[in-house]
Amino acid sequence: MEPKVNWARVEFQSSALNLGFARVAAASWAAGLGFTLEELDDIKLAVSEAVSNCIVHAYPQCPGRVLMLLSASDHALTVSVQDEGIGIEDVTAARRPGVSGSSQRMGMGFTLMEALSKSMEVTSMPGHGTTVVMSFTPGEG
Amino acid sequence: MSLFDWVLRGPDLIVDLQGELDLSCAERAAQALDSLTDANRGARRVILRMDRVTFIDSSGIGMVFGRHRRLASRGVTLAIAGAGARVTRTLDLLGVSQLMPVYASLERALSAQEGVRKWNPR
Repeated sequence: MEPKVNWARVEFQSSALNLGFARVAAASWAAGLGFTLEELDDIKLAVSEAVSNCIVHAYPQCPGRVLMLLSASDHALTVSVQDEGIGIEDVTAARRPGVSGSSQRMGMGFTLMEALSKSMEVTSMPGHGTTVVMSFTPGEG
Repeated sequence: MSLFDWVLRGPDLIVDLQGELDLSCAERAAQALDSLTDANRGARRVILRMDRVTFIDSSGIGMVFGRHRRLASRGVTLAIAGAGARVTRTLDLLGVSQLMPVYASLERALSAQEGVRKWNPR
């Protein structure tokens, strides 16, 4: 039997006004996949961190595009948050806690995303943008 | 987050935060809290009540930690009280209780202060 695959794309401006929408959109889409309410809250927090990074770091001057791609396969959720912003020169350094402390977010965004998800991948091309891919599985939180 | 309620109770300035504390309101909340604490310089402790905070992320915690540093520089303690399970999870993930006092409820925060006075009657 083929695995059931479903997906949704949500595109929005990198404005803090869209942050709540992005969180709720991800959590409500994931709600049918067997996650507990606590796990859905973790997904919301992880999405909030990923999208906040786009707003603060990817587009520091003026807002740009954020694409959130949600996909589900056999009850695993993958959330990809992509921007076309300035990118990250050194992804390994950026993932260390406290590196981007200038943003007044304690530089803990990536650390939180890593703690909340089953896995997290960050790929970036300076000048072209950054993609964060996180996966979540119900019942493992 | 809309404007918050606050009350001065003896040495404690109690601030009742509400709603979602994220990037969309962190700067505004920081400015409002700074104005409030500047206008109440007699307070020795500022307690942020989080009973009605429904969401907090690292922007919200960063805002709180920024106020903590600012107040600590003039000898004022910043404490968090009454956070629900969801907010507490985020506080725990970021190790906030190692940086500032975190109480389960406003009552606990107030009695902790009374305990300090009782044992250190200065």
